[in-house]
Amino acid sequence: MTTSSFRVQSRTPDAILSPVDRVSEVVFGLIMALTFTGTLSVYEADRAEVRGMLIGALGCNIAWGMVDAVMYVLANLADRGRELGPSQSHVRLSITGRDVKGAIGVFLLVFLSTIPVTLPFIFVQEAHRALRLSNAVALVMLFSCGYLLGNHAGGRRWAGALLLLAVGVILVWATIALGG
Amino acid sequence: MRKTTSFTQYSRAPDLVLSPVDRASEVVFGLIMALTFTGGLSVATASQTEVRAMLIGALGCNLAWGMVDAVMFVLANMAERGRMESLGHPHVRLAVTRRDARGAISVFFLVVLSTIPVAFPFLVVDEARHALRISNGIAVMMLFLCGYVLGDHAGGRRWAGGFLMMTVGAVLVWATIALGG
Repeated sequence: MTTSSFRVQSRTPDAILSPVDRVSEVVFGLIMALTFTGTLSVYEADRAEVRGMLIGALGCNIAWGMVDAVMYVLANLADRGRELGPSQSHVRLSITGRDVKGAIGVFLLVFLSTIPVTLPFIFVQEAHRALRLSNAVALVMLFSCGYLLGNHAGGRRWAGALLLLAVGVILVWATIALGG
Repeated sequence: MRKTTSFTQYSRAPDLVLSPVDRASEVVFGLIMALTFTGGLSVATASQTEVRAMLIGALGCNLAWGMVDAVMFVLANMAERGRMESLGHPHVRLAVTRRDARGAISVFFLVVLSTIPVAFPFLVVDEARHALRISNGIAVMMLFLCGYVLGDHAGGRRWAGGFLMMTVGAVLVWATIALGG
């Protein structure tokens, strides 16, 4: 669910995905996972419900990791077609190894961002304890993402960390309020 | 490096906050999200209440993600400006600009409005089965159009783009529904 908009301006020759791309994908994946963990009724939830929630979160992130990855490749193809110009419109555009590597990166970032916030539900039996732990992990992840983004943005590490932490919490809250 | 610069010029032209690629991508994201709701409805047995719940779910989801995309768009822009400033570019303003706001509003509306055409048949057609068929027809057309626009941007590959996006979109929707939306 992200968007090529962040990607396009930030490509550099040595990094397929820029720090901005990577952080964005992790934040998207994280918010998506948190809409699942955050809507579990932790005091009534039995193991089956917890498992249902985990499968839902994982399935959703696999699906959207895939959508993001495919759209990433399509956006790259479109960019290359653009660079060739209309006079070369008969030239067949093909997917490069770089596209594939970037797509795999996008997919893994979205998918793997689910793991840290779902793990507590696997190891901690009591759902409300697991949720508390999971939320703490989520806050640390948002903070770290903001730290990296701020660092990329000219060494504004702490400002970035606190900003993304605040924005992330608000977004998760609003997303859950709107029905996930 | 030249590649990056040339693309930046295309997509960040002064008169264009979002490039055609950005716009088509946002519409496709919004569309796929909405289609996981319409496609997840059991049309043969769905009552009006269930249909309404589905529509509210789809709209809520797209409102939420339109917002998330819009906010992340602004943050990404700010980060890029911070980067430029630190690399010695003069006249960089870090705070949220009007351009950011315009881009964010566009992102939000592209995601949200892409829900409307596929949700609309359910409002006017009573039988959910028929509504879904019309809605799917509209969705396929929208995917084709997005691909057409994207292909046009990609050096005049209109029809190839249209058919590619239509196919890819259908596969993605199917896979997303199979994975539980």
